[in-house]
Amino acid sequence: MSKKNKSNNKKDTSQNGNDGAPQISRRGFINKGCAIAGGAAALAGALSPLKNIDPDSLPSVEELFQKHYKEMSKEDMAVALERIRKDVNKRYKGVDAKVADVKPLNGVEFVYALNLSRCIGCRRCVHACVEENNQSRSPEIQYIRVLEMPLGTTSMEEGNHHYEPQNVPRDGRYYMPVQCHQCKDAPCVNVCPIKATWQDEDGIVVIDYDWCIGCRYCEAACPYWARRFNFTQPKIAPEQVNPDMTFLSNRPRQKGVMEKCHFCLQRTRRGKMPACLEVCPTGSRKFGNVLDPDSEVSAILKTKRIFVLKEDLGTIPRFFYYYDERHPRNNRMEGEA
Amino acid sequence: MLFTAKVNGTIRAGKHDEIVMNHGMNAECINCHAIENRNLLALRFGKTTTFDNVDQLCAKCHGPTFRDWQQGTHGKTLGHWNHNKASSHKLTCTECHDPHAPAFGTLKPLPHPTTLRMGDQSEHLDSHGDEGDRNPLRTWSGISLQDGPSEQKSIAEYQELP
Repeated sequence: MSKKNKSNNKKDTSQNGNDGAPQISRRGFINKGCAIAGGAAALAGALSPLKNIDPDSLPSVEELFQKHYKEMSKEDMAVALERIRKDVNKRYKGVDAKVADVKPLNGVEFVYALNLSRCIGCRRCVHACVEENNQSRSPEIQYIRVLEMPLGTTSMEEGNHHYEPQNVPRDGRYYMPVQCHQCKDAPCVNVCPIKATWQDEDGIVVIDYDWCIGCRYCEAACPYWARRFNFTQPKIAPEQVNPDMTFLSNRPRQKGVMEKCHFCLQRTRRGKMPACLEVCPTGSRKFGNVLDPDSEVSAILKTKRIFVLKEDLGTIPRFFYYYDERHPRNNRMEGEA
Repeated sequence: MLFTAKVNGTIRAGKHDEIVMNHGMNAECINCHAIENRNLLALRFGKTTTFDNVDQLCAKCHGPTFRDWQQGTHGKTLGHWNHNKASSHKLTCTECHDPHAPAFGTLKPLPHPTTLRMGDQSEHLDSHGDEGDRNPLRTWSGISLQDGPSEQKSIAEYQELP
């Protein structure tokens, strides 16, 4: 019997039966079946996040092929602005946005100054900024962070931004709002792997939201914690959307991009003050063109006692803190009201 | 004190009872209001000026602050950031300070940063039983400096300081 079935010296390992048709053993069938079923289940599991995709978050064809801001021609920009306008109208029902691209003014370099003797830590600047710049409300993104600092230090790490007393200012503390300093030698600009963020001629560090890939290197690099990331799709109530938008500033962002204070360039490049300054009830904030020798900020830099945060890091911020030497808060003796 | 009287510890004008004086050492009406014509303000050496030049009056005693204000380091400037432009508007003294009680009061701070405010955005009570003023989708309320919490204001209205 065994001699008949031995065809040659090679061991016949195929599953061929006596009539030559491929046959599979029961074990083989079960093994292969389990492997195929397991593979199919793994594939389905791997692909399952796809069913949660929000079709709105998928880029359109124009968005996919949009160039970097610096390479866009006027026509490309017009197409992009129209796309954004339509997208805003769809995402926020009834909002008729005016989307523009505002270029820097000639002969202008913006500088911000903040009077620490006057700031009382009321956080109106924080929320005015949120309203003006269409930041996500849920989860809430705030560009400005007001630190409640103990007297005697300007170190940000000593500050507390979760203060919530009934009344501010509190004794024995001063308040230091921190936002993007638009540094001249910005670590965030140096570290971006794809040049999605850069410093414009007027000093403002801007972000091309459509070019940003969301790697968050800039967020790690910023020593002032000025950068914010959209972990989810931003949510804003339609009636709270500010319809006056520009490409590089306050148009609504999407999930996965960075954003930060941009000195309200949709306002300042058109000759208005930033929203944080306008709403400050004590007049602590000063803004202007440092290249103009007559401006308020030039006077402050020339005559007031100013400092910048983390000067030793060499970021060269354009946000200066100063204080009034004769202010009662600085001259109060211990125990006085 | 000539024309004022101390009532229950606060200084009150003999007439004009509604005015509460809280201007430190400056407790006499005639220090600022010209005695012969109270529709004018009293400067030094018998000179007077109108209410349009109230900064000249305040400069009478607050010289260094006035100098800072002229330079732009004290006070608030709205409109254009280039103060040579017509739309630039520097607020005068009394557009921020109540001349009879000029010191700013305290304010209740707006909510601190938190990423926990997700989900249902309707009004709710927080742990103190207060109204849900931690709710970010609710318009922030502008609180004037002298009054307590008031009606909701938009940013544009808030530029009109008390």
